[in-house]
Amino acid sequence: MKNYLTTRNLSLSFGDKKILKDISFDVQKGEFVTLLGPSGCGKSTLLRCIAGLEQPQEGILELDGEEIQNRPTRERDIGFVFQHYALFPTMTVFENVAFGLKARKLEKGTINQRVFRLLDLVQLTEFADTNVQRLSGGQKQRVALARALATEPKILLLDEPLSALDAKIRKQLQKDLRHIQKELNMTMIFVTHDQEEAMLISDRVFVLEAGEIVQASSPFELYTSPENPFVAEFIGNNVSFDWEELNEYTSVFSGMGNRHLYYVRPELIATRETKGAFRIPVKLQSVSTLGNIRRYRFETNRGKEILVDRLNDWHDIPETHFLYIDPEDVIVVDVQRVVNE
Amino acid sequence: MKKYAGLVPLISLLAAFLIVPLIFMLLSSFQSDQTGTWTMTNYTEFFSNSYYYQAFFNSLLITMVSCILGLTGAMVLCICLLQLSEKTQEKITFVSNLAANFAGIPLAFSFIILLGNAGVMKLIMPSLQAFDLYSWWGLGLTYVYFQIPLGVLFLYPSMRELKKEWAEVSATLGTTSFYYWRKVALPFLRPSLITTFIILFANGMGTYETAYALTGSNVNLLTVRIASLVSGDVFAKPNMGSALAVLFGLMMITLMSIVGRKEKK
Amino acid sequence: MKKFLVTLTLSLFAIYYLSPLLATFFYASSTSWEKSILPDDFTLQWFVQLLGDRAFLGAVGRSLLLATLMTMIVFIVLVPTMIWIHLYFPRWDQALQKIVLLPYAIPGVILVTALLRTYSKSNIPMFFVLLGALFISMLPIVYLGISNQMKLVNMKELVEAAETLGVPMFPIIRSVLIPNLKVGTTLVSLMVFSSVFGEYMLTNLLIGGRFETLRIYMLRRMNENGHVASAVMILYFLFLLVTAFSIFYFNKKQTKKIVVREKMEEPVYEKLLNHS
Repeated sequence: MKNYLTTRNLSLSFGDKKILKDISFDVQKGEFVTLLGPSGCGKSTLLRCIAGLEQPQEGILELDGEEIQNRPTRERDIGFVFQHYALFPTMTVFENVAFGLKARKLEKGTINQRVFRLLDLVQLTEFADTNVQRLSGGQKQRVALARALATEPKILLLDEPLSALDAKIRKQLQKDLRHIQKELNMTMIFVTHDQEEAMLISDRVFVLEAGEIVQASSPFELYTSPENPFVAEFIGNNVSFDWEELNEYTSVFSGMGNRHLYYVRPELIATRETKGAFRIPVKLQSVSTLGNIRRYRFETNRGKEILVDRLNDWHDIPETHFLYIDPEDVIVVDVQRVVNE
Repeated sequence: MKKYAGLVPLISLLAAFLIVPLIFMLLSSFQSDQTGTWTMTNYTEFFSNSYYYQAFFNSLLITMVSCILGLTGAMVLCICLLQLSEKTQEKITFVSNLAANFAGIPLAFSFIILLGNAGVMKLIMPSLQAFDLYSWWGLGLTYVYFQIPLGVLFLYPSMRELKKEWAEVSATLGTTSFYYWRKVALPFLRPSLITTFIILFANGMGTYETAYALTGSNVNLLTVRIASLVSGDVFAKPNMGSALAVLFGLMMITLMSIVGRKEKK
Repeated sequence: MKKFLVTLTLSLFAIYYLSPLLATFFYASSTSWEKSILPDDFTLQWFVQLLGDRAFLGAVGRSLLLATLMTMIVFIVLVPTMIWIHLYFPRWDQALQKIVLLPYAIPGVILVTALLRTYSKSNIPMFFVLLGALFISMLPIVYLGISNQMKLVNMKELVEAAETLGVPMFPIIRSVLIPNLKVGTTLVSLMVFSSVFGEYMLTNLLIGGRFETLRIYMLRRMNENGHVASAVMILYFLFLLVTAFSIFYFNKKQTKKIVVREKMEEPVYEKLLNHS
């Protein structure tokens, strides 16, 4: 399948500070890709480069077979949604959404049709004549979405669009966004620092750190097979061991040497003996209820904290002095690429 | 009751030097300069005597020109200043303050040095010889000098509100910069532009010192005309001056209330 | 491309605004200046001549007198009254804001006309009329300078706390309000002082030649000896710079103090104890 969006060797520096280091990736048509990373990793800058709002010093950008890195923003046929909506304040919802269409001098009938179809899609039809300043945050973002989709761009770029919203609205919009994306088969690149969000809605997640893509995979692969310590620790919860610690409990990894770190996900730690598992002596410190998860906090004799998550079946786990880990559940990660801030 | 006592000094001063004189002025505007009888002739003379209504139109013309140029200049300057760092806000008030106090005699004189009949710039660039500082344009140019800083002072805060993202969104939607300005930025700035214009207008109409220093009584301006009617030694016609002042005041008050209504929006 | 345009425009503006100033300076420091950008010579003789001119010194003295008098009057009458109104008639604040802007809307000529009609033939010396006129024209400046700070310092709370503690009004004003408003009042004094120092229209039209202040002197000299007039203006401008800098400095101090205060959030009565 031909790639829809391609970047090759994209680099951007601000003075002598390198923000993006030699970024290359491909996105397929209809894919929902998320750029994930902590603040300052360059994900927003990367998105803006694709949009043409920032200029990289080097690199090639291709969209739908055409090279676009030298084109001004308005000729790139992309849609963009900002974190703080950026709706035009003097206009109504209708006027905002119709803005790009009016600029293209489309016929009034066509404009009407398209705008109302989109308002329907984002469920804001009855607000068509309301001035945008009167809307809530969630509503404003939906207008921004409709506005960006109105011109039927080739690709939609979203820069932390949900970060400014309340938790509940956020969850609703995550669902709606994914739904709209699937319905329109729109290629989307989404930027966020919230790994839960990324995992929830994406087809693929590109994790960025300090200007580089450190892993690009599906959410499942990202969680179960992190390729470096940064990803292992950034995504999900875990308990980590270094080689010396682990050798105290099991000899399975004794031949591996110091070059690796070892991670275990909390839901895979057993409280009853299983075949092949090694055990760690612990003491229970506390239990918290997170809703449908119960989190048990244990401490080893070395003072290391181990979290064990269980689905809340409304009962406590029976008392235990040991935790059991199957060596097959241990994620082994090469330390070679320890990415710094 | 005691708390009203604290207001006495202020109110007595206001009464003595503002309210009572204004009433006197209003009353005397209905009195004839020659005979002292009650009459409307002062007002009718304004409309019939070209000497007077010409003063009004002259002031109006110069003010309008300096307002339009001043506002445009202020907008351009604001756009440029916004590209610079955050520290500019305070510096703007500082410079504006300076320019405001420099206005008047020092300003007029420095323009005479530069562009007067024997002006330095005229000697350096002979092509400027044709420029007459003591005419419309000359006066207007001098006005613009202090109108622009005032315009910047009032316009800058609103222009700062113009979000960079609006321009970016506009670009992603496929529009040119010009289209963005026409459809988004200017409509957004409209209230502020109107307010600033009116402030500049009041400022321009009310200017006395600069005009007087530059052209004396030669250019017929409303402020200068009123002043000479009221305090001129030989041909003083104070009641006529009062009438003109009343008309002037009414006009300005009407304008200000328009501003007030626009602001409430 | 954009940066180039911006720099170009700013440079043009800079030239436009600086050239009158430079021209005046050059004129004030030379005896002959003909067809070139720079004058032909450089001399301080005009400045020296100026400082020896009695009329000049007299004019400066009179301007200083007016400015000082006005600043004192403002301080003694206007500032306390505004504090008073803020405390006892808080609802008038809104109306006051509008009234205070009137002098901006109504050009000074009108005030002059009104005052002349009323007092020119009376026994009241025009000097006092001038003081009154200046007072009126200072209203907006003083109000704007003080009201902002009054709100920020949360004066009402302080006074109410003091009253519940049984402290009478005057010590409150002295030990609590004035110190808290110090920066604002300094700011206002500076602005009043510099405005009155450079005032022309009211002075000239109300008193005129009998009381020659600095600007009136300037105008007279302008028609007699351009070089000396320029020297006066340069000196005046230096004075302006100094006051403008001080205003700038105190303005910064005011905003800094407010930020700090918001961060500290001491209980009100502690503020009182610290200041009594």
